[in-house]
Amino acid sequence: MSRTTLIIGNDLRRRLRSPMATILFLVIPLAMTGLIGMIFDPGQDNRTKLPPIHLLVVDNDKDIAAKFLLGAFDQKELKEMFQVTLVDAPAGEKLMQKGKASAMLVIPEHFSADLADQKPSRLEVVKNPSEEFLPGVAEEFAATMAVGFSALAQVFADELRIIRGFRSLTLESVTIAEMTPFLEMARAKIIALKTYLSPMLLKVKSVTTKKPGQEGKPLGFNIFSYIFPGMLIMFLLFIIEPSLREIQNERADGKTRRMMFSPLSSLELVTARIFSGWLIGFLVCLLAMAAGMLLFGIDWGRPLLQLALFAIACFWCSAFFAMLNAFFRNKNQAGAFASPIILVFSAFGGSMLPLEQLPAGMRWVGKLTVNNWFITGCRRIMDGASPLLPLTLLAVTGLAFAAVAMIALPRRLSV
Amino acid sequence: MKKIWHIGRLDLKLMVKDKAFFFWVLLFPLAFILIFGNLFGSSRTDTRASLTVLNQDRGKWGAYFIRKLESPKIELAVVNEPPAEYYRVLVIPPDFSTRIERKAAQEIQFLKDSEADLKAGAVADTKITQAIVKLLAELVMYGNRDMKAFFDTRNPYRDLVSVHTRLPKDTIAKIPSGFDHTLPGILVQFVMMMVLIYGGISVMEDRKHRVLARILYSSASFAELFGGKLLGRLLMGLLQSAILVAAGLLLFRLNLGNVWLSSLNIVVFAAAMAALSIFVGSVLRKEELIIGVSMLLANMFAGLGGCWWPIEIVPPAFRAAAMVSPAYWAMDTFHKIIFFGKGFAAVWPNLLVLLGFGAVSTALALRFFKVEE
Repeated sequence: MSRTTLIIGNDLRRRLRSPMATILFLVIPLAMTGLIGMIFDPGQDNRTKLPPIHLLVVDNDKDIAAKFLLGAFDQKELKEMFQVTLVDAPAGEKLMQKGKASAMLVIPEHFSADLADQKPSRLEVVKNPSEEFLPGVAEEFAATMAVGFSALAQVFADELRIIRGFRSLTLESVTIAEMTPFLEMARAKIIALKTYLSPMLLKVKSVTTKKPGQEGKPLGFNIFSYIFPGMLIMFLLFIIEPSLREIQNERADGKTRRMMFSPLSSLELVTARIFSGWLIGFLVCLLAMAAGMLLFGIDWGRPLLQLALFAIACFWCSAFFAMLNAFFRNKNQAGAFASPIILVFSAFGGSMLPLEQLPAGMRWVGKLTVNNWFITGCRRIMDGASPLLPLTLLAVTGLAFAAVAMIALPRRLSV
Repeated sequence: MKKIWHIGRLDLKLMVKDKAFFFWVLLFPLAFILIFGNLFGSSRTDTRASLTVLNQDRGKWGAYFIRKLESPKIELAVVNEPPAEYYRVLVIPPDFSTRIERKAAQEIQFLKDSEADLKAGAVADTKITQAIVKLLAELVMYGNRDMKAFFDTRNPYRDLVSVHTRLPKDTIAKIPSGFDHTLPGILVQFVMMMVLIYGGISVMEDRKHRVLARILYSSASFAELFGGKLLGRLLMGLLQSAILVAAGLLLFRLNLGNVWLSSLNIVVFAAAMAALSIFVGSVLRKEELIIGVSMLLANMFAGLGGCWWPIEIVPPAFRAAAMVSPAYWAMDTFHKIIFFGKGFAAVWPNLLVLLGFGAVSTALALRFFKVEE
């Protein structure tokens, strides 16, 4: 037992003497979490806000309907959503060709007159081809405005015709008697409008639903706590793997053979390697936990449970790489395969993308990875739920890997 | 020149012989393309804006309202029983007609699955709003007459204003697919990762095992050795790009716009990364450190530069910060070529910035490049 402890202590001292690589693999998940979190932070209201959409507007109408449309952009919500620049058609086209705006809305000539005459007219939306989302929002906005204008033009068809007629007349040439039928007609429309719009006859209430067992984002949710566990487990694998690969390096440069001259048994050596990998990983987890709390305000939930998860996950990683090294022929093979395995685990297990965003097939494959169960466990503890399933699964499979490593690795060491 | 070519070609050969070569240059990037292409290109769940309408109405108005929802942009399904699975359901209650006929205000529920696609959900949202506007317009036109006669004497809503969508003149004719957006980003990211990691490690290993020193015992000069190493890493980047472009053309019908200009962009970017990899491999002495620094640089550059997500959804401050990333300039060049059909006149400033990155990296690499520990 003391020999095992000696090796663990020696391994730890070696890692601490040149800690840069370990520190770097701790910095990377923090940096990536910081970057992604700051960009996609949904804020307190839990709604991811898009940046303002730069919209160019070409007003070829310059009449009442165009003014009404432009006035709509002064409303609070639309003002936050769109950053509108009024341009003429050639300048707008040039700007769009340079990709300087998300979209350009072109109000056609005679737009107001055509609406008043109940003639069809066409709003034009020029979309920036290099953007994927914002031009679509501008297009949907234009489509809704088109419906609104069509509705208004039809509701006030008679009134619009009369207003157009009045505009060519002087005040002196119109009598009150001539205006009375118009006013009476408008009054009836306004009463009808009041009936249907105040209060609104038909409203929609949106409700977000969850399937049984599906996890949602609670209000005030911290995006960093959503991202960081995935990043942490990915780089934890990178941190623990070299400790176990050391078995191959020592075997290649003859150190193992020399060590075997001492009373040390190969089983003790394997056990020590597994636990030194575990210890490095666990220490990194402690640092990551503190850094996550300090830098991102992550609430890890019940700390003891979280520490238990960290300990079991680190043991899993260590046992897994010990087992793999039992099957790798040499250090080159270990070096060549370890990183791809980690990256595949990370891609399928939810470290690179949230688990919910992955296609169903990938999510199924992801269940075979430590990343998936570590992330699930972390989230459950953060949400105050029981992490029993992830903990049990990781512990049982970790023990199985360790058992295989204990049997197979000593044979490799004796070769 | 022959010696430079010889050294560079040898480095490339060694890389191709690596056991994990095809994983790094082909399989892993392809997995990335599939994941990110599906994530941002189209929804993983509902590729079209699907909307299920649960019509429980006992009168005519429910069916009439559903007709107002019909649109080419929406995939409509009408059911009479609550569906077991859905992305979004609009519930028309049993008393929908009664309340309309009584002119009593009502709220209809729109249930959205939390995992459903947000973009498709937004389309469904606007289509429902538009349907409500259309129905209300008809009701206002109908006025306060007897509602029982509505369907016989109504004045139906007409779409007087339509919306025509187009792309800017003299750019591209076809609306780009999700993969058109994703592939250039993956290409830029993997050129960075491949060249920095492989290129950096091999410089360090060659120095550690005195391979560089032995090369100098031959007739090759220091300049030829450095040039050869630079060329080797440039060839790595170009090979990685060629494999991804070929896979993109074969599997995803990648559109590269002007092929020559896109190739020039790749060459200039790969050259900048080649020089940076020599710098990284010269200042760092451990493989783990090189991998760590390269991953950090490649991931931060890729994230900031718009390789992972469309740069348009990033807050303005980050868009400004992105300019420090060479990936941003390479991506912007691709956008100008692929989506706007621009020529050399529009992209030369970007290429100049990338050449600037390359020049600074080369100067740093030259300053720190050592043949022995």
